[in-house]
Amino acid sequence: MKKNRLLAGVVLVLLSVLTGCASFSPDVVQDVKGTPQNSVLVYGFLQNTNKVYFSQMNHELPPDFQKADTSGFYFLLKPVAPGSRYAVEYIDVSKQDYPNIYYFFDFLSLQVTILGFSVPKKTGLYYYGAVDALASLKANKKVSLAEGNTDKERKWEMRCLDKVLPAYEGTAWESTIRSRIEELENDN
Amino acid sequence: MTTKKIKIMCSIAVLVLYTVFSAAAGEFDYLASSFISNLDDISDVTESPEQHSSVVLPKQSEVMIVGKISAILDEDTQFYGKTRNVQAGKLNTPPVICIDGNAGEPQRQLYSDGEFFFVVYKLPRDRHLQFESFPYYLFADKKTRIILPLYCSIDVPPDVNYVYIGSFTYTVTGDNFTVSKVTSTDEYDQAKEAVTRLSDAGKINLCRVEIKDHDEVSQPRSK
Repeated sequence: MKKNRLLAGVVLVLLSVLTGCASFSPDVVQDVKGTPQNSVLVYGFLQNTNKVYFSQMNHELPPDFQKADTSGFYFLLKPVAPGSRYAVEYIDVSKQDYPNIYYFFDFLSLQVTILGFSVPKKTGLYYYGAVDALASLKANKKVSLAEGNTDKERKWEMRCLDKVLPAYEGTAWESTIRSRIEELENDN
Repeated sequence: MTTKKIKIMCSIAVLVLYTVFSAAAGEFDYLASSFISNLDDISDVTESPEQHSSVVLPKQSEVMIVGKISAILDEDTQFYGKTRNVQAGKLNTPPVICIDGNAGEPQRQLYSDGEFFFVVYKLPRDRHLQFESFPYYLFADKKTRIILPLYCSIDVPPDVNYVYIGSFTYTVTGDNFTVSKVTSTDEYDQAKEAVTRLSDAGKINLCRVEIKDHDEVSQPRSK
């Protein structure tokens, strides 16, 4: 009995280590062409999401398909065009709610916009938000983890930037990311 | 093994599974990839040639629904094919509509835009059928799916096993693919000709029926 509990504990620790230590793939910045002067870097948190692919839906701008780089539910896109609009094309979500495991993966129809986002026309950074993907799909509207609380929102964005910074260290984006972190810290 | 031990082992199994799923979210992406290695492999909308050519005629307790669906889109579909990462070789593939009946035998599900469909459904005791929506796949690809709502119901008259529900044209507008208009035209004669060609079963009694709003049947119905 004690052995089993110990094993369960080990599994839990392993679980938190695996999800907590994950980082964005270094490949994400290798072929990045956009800079803070001509594009927008999008990042956020999509709870329960293992995979998410976005496609650019504004037909006045070039087509763009992006497999978001995910790390422990944090996601990061390669820099995108200002004024573009992205929709989720494919999503893979899972949630363990003992004793059930919810698992959903599918292409979303062209009409589904709930998990999409509009990129501002201003270049620089764009924080998508911290969103519960599964709850959003169920509710047919974006369900924020910050629940409209500015302080929570700030903390979520800080967590995201902590993941984004190592991926873009040494690139043209580094100073922009650092400035945003500083700005959020000063808001505290 | 005691029940308690079994419960604990089950809990551990659940935790391990969860760990695998969670790990798939991060740098161990290959774990998720082991479920689906390539999305292109699962995005094709196809059916086997045998199923596509199969003609299923309704039995006494079934009904064949005959109709036609067309869509007019005002958007540049090529753009959406490219932005949704549809393979370049598929960008000239015509759209398909998927309509699946529920009669026992496997039957054809995929139809072209503007083609008569013939779908067999089991008849419930009250002979009442309701329809919700159909997926319409641009480039026959799941990445570019549009949902076309029908949301209607019909009552199948006694001794009728073939029903023509109409020829529907959907106008789909804007980059959010809103269905702005649905029109229904009566092409009964062409439908009858098409259904008669299906088999040499002789005279087929193809009926028109009143199309009711879906909402009318959301109330519990007496059996």
